[in-house]
Amino acid sequence: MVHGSEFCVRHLPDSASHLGILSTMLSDSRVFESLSLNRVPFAGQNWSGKSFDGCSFMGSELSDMNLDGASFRHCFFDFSRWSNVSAKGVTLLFCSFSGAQLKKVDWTGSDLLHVNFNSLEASDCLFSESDLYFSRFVGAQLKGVQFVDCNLKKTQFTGSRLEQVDFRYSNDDEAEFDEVTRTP
Amino acid sequence: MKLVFHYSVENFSNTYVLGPDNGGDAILVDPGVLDVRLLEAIEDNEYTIRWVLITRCQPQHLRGLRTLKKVYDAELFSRNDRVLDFPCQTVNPGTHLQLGNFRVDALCFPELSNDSVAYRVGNWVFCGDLLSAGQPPRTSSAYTRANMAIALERRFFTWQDDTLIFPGEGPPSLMRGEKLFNRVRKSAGLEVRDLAGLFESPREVGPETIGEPPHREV
Repeated sequence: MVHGSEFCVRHLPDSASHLGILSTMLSDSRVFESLSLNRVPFAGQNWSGKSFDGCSFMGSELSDMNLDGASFRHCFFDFSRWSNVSAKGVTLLFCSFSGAQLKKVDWTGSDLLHVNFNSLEASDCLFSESDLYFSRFVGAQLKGVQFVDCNLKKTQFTGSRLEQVDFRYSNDDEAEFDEVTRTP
Repeated sequence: MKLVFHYSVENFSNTYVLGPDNGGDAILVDPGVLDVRLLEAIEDNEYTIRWVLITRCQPQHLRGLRTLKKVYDAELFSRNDRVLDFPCQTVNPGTHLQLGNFRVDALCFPELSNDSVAYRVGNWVFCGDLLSAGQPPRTSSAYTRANMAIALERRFFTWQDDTLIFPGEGPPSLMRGEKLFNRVRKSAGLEVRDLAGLFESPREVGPETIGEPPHREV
């Protein structure tokens, strides 16, 4: 369901106008709770500094977005697709991204705590200078991803495929790398 | 319905509080700790802890129970009839509890331990040690691991894809993600048995049916 509707977005009689209303709502307010925005395509929006609590974006598409300084707590992004997103200084707390696809997403300087990134497909993404305490990348496929100067305490990369992944200056000795395939 | 999440740095375990939107009687799942932050979150939401659900009688799920009982006169539910000397309502396999406006279904997993219970409230599951996002439960032997894989396959992974999973340790998860990616299925050779359709077109499987997610955390 799209928030406030009886329908999922693709089955709305007039999905374009409904998306316009959603877009206005998202641009007018700063704090959001319990929004259901599954399978909604977002493009070119500025959510910088906004706060989302208990919102669901499962299967949604986020492209060319600015999320700098935004806060997401208890949010579900499973099977979502992200491309060209700036998410610097973001707070992600107790969120789930399982099965998500990220392309050119910049998380530099973010707090990504207790986040489920299992089976994530990420390419050309930056996680540098971020705190990834207790987050998980089980079965993830990461290509050209940077984890420079990160806190990786209790971060799990179990069963992941890492290609050109950079862990310089991070405490990767405190992370778990069981059954990982690494390509320099 | 609101959810408050609290992480115990001491136990590496999660505690959850489930209550109405506008305050009132609430459920606490796994009192691994009751510190000032959790107490403030409970009070800020104007909750009174009336019921405590225990997923497993292990120290990491119980360390805050004595403190909690000093503050709230809460009724306890677990597989055991006594927990830390407190009397407890025994939860049996298939038990349905009506706790205020909350209907709670209990599912027992003796394959893991004789005191292991998962509680389902709506499409939220509090599964304790049954599994953790992407990971199988911690077990002592290959035999237990194999038994658990079968038990989860028959009684856990049969639930709807939109079920939100809140484990006793680690981040939250979605049932669909666990069906597709959890290593317990892979280790048991079960991961593709009935999920071929999902692998082919994972984005076509009904997010429109996904229920309201939780909100609030500490």
